[in-house]
Amino acid sequence: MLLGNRLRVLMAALTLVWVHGAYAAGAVEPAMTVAHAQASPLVAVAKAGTRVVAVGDHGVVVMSDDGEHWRQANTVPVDSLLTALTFVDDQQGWAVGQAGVILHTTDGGEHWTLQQRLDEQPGLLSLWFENERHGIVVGAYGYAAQTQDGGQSWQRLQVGEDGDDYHLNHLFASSDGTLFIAAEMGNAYRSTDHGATWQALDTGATGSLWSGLGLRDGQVLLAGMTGRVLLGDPAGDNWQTLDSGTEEAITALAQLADGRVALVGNGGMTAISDAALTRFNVKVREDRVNLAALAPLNDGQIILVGSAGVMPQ
Amino acid sequence: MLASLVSALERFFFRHRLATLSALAVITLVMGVFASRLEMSAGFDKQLPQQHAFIKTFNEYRDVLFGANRIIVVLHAKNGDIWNKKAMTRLYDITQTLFFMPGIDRRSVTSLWTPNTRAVQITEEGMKAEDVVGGDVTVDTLDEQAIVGIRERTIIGGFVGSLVANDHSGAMVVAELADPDPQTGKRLNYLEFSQHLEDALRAKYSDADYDVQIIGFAKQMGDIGAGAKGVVGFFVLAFFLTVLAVYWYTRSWALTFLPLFCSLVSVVWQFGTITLLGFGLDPLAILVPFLVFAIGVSHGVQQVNFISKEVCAGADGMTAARRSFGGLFIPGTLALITAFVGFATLVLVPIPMIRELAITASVGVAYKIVTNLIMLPVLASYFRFDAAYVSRIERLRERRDNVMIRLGRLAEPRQAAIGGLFCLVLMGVAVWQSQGRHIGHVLPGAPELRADSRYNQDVESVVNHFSLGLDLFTVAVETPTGGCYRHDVMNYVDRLTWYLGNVPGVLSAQSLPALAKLSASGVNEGNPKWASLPLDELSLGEAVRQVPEGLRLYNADCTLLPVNLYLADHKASTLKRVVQAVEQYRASHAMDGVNVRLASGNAGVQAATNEVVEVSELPMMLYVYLTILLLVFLVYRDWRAMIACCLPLTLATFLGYWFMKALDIGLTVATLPVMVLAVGIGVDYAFYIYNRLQLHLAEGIDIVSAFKLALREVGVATVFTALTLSVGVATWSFSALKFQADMGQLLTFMFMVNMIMAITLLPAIAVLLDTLIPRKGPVRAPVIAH
Repeated sequence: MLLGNRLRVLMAALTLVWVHGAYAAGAVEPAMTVAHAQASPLVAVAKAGTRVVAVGDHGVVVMSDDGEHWRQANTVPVDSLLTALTFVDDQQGWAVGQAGVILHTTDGGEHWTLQQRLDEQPGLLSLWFENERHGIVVGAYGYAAQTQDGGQSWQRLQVGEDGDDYHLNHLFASSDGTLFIAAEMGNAYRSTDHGATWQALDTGATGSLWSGLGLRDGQVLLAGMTGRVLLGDPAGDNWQTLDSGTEEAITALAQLADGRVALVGNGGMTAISDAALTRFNVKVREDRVNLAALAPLNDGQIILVGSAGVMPQ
Repeated sequence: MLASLVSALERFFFRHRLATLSALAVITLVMGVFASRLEMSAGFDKQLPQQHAFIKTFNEYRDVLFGANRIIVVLHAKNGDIWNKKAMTRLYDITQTLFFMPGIDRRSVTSLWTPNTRAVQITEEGMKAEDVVGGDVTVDTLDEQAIVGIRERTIIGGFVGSLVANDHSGAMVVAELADPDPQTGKRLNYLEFSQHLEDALRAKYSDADYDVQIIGFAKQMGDIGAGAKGVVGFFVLAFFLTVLAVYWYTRSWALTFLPLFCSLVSVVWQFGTITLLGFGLDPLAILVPFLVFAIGVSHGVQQVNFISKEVCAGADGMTAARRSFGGLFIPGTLALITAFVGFATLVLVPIPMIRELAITASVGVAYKIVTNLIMLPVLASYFRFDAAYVSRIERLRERRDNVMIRLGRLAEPRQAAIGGLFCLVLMGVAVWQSQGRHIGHVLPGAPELRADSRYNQDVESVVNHFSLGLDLFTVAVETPTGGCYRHDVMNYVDRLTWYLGNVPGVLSAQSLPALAKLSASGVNEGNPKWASLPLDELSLGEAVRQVPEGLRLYNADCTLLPVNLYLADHKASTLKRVVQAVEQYRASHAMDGVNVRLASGNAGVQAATNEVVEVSELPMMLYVYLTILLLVFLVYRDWRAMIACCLPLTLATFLGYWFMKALDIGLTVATLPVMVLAVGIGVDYAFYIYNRLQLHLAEGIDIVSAFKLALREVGVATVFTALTLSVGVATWSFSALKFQADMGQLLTFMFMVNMIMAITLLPAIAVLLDTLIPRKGPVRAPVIAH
């Protein structure tokens, strides 16, 4: 909560135009074990079987088997910002972060090893694994790479046109296995061959897209700044803008068991749609703290994480 | 040899008594002139151990670091919130008033109404910033709609918790002081400034619906100064209580004013000396002249007691005075030298205020040897006592004797054994109970002031309503020039911040890299996945420049990157934990060119003072005890005397520690001198009693009877002295200043306990020693037999 406030206080003073810069890490040092790790800034969450695992700054990885009691991962070899994670089953998973960091776990997130530090030290933002061998990571300035050997070696992928350097913010699969990337400045990409080749999509949007979701009926959602939510057909050829009822930047979205879609975003925004996706019921948290990700649990509970860590719904 | 010296002195002073008194009168006159020029001077810096590494850091960067001289004014709505025209108008007026107040750095004034309070929103086009209050809104055009807009932008801008209370019940105006004044170069007078805040803000803008709360270092100092002025009242009160007590004891106005007058004379000399030395009277040290006065009265009463005893025995004024001089010169000098050493050892504490106190107080005590042991009996030699007074005082003595005779039974071997055993057990309990007593200040808020003082109530309210930590501990990280633009340096500080932020007792940690990461996210459309330190210098520099300068998280050439820790409290245990964490981290994470320095902020300064006070206490105590042992040995040449005098004192000291722990009185700059002095003064009672005891033993009387005699002769005076001193210092408990109250309570306790120990445990030990290890030879008479 405090961190959220700080960000906002800081925003109050932002006046200059930003020049995009490259990121890199300093010397490798393992993450520190802290008393209330679940209260530190978190940016992504994923499920390993029934377990919920979240990652964030300072190499913090926290996990919970019931959504209530949290503990910090036993070993994490880096203490920099981790941005995304995924599991292929309840044991094996990967996490990525700034400076080309790729971490690997084989015990549901308890222990992590530094599997790779990619050569150009790209700021990695998202990843997807088809199975325990094949996976793709994407990140800043159009960076994309894939592995065929469970992360041992990585080969660069071309996603956009030559010279495109849009940030590739979120990589996800739709229910029929088509891959989508939500990218900077309204860009989005599609791959129907497990990531080998990519096609740019015409979303009609100009603002950045930060996140996406494959719905169970095959349709696809993209979401991003200014509360933008786009609903696309399974192929991603046609997009229509939904009224999300918010102008806050949407950081993540998820489909609930009953088919409704939940959104979270900056400024303490949460929203849940009706079943037909025609209306979103928006709520703004009193503390306006930034929310970064969410994970619906089987019991109907939704785990929210953000700049104040794991937060009550 | 000593005995003949005392006789020589006695002959000299009493043969030339007029010349002696005239010389003393001239000295008093001259010193009085200087004493009249004495001024109160409160110095913050004087309270700090200037040679301590933390304080050196504090001094070096005090003008650069955050919050050193901030003043916070909160408009608090007693009911409802501040989102109405009346409150917003009042907030505007307070902002304006503060802006134009002398001593305020105008650029730094910040509230919802100032143009530096802007709400920034990140949009697809970039960042949109607007004044929170709205560009076209003025106090006159303020309507409901405008207020709704202000409220919305306040929330968006993240000012809830900082400029507006978390529950919206108050709003804050923050400003930094320009001290010294950049134009005139003059230091700000905190007492005046504080009064100005009261008149121009609190009095004007608080009423039934609104409260104005003011906190900040300047206000704190102002309130302490104002509280210290009340001290004069306690002086007067204590003086009258002493007059009454001494009269009750002597039943003679002449003998009442004799010790009081002599004690006052030495205080005049003391004040004159302070002025001559170029010192002022510090509010924290104001107890000392009073204490010196009380010590004087205590010795004066012993003299008066001796004189009236002699008068009852049939002596005339001159003879009685001469005998008193001869009889008390040695124990009196002994006692005063111990008190002198007690005060003088305070010089060992490397805190200027305590050193000053040590010098002025020891000078004052030294003067007592002249005023109370020479001047007083010489003056008394002019007194005439009529037969009626003699018979009246005789009856009084008989009544009082009865009490002492009963008390004397304590010296019978059986009682002594029981008493000794009881005290042994008590000693064990006291040592055990005094373990883990507090070091430093314990309660929240300004430690010098009481918990229910206006200032501390304001502090409590502000802490409860705003997300603001008031116990600031700053770690100063020195870096190579341009450290803010180096990723490795910034990363180092970021890790240090994260590490320290997770130390138990640290509520939050703030530093440049921690905020630069957030600005990195902010300029990347606000995406949380970008909240990381950019590697290249250019981007890092851009991120750094977004961090408001007012937060003071870097200096002009980027050679200082402070880490500000807001602590849960300023208890010594918390401070120690943080200090240890920093020391541990810098030892295991050394980086070339980067120097992690402890410490600044109010909590850092306190950590330094705590360390110094804690480290100083034991050696000081040892010096005082050593002095006592040495003096006792020199005078009595008897190891029994050393034990009999020092054991009760040790028990009293540990009881004092227990008392401190039980009453949450921490060992501080104010209470450390008290404990040391209590030993130095406490031993007086032992000296007076043991002196008589030794005398009677030398006459061949057995120890039990000897003690009974001694107790009859000086017991009443001893009990009375302790009571008088206690009543005087007990009045301090009602002081508006907490440290004065602490000192008063502690001293009262120590006076009483030391007295009780001297008349109970001392004889018990003396008797036990003689019973267990019978004396082989005859007892030496003390240096002056009478």
